[in-house]
Amino acid sequence: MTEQELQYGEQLRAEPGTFLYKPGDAVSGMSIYFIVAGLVRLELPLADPLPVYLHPDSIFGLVETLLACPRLTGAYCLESTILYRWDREGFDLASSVSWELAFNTIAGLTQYLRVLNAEFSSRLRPSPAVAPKGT
Amino acid sequence: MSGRDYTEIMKIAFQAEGAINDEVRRKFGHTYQDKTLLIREGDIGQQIFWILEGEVYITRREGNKYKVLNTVGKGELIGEMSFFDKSVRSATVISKGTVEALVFSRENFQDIFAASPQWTKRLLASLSSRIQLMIGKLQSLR
Repeated sequence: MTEQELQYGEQLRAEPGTFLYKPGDAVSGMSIYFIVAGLVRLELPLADPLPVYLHPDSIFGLVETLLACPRLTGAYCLESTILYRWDREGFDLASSVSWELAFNTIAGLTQYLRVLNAEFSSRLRPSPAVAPKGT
Repeated sequence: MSGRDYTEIMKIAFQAEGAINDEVRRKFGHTYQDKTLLIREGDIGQQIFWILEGEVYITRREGNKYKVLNTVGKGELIGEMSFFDKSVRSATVISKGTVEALVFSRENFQDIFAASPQWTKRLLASLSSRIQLMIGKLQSLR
């Protein structure tokens, strides 16, 4: 992250076990996060859980902010984590002056969508039957 | 997300801007002669092709032959899935006659951004909508 990008938001430290937000939470203020250091788990509220692990340089919290909807997932700090966060306006400003930030954000959303798509296909697919020998 | 969905997203992102001007065309324009291979199935190339003139075959290899799955032409984007997420090419693309295309790589994303920074916002919004839809689909499974 460059000073140019950082000037539009603020830094945050979170202890292990901190929920940054939970599914259904309203979105307001500094709602878009960038991981500087540490490890965050995104949790989808599914009957069969689907954890998505986010490492440094990941951006999250953007989808609900852009769509102006309640949180679709939870975000949980697995380790001591240093984050940077923007509000919508700050992120728009930062991403309009930084092609790296724009690229990383698009790439992150693309990868996330790919995970969801693959998981959906996998869960639709019936498990192959296994039979012991001699039956 | 199917390839078609992604193509629609990218189309919205690019075409809404009318971003292509002479400078972009000079810098990124390429001409391919008939039967030139643009993309090879199984590769991990990270270029995106925007067809300006002509058509290309989207094919899949079956033994020693290529089965044509589709033909796409002017205004279409191809290779977009690998561009951002480094996925393996799922088809082989071959020119049908002479083809003119803009070719962007990950390295010159900066130039695309400079040509039209606004398309990024549209692309982010479109991807966000698709993510919301997929989460809804996953939640509907029992």
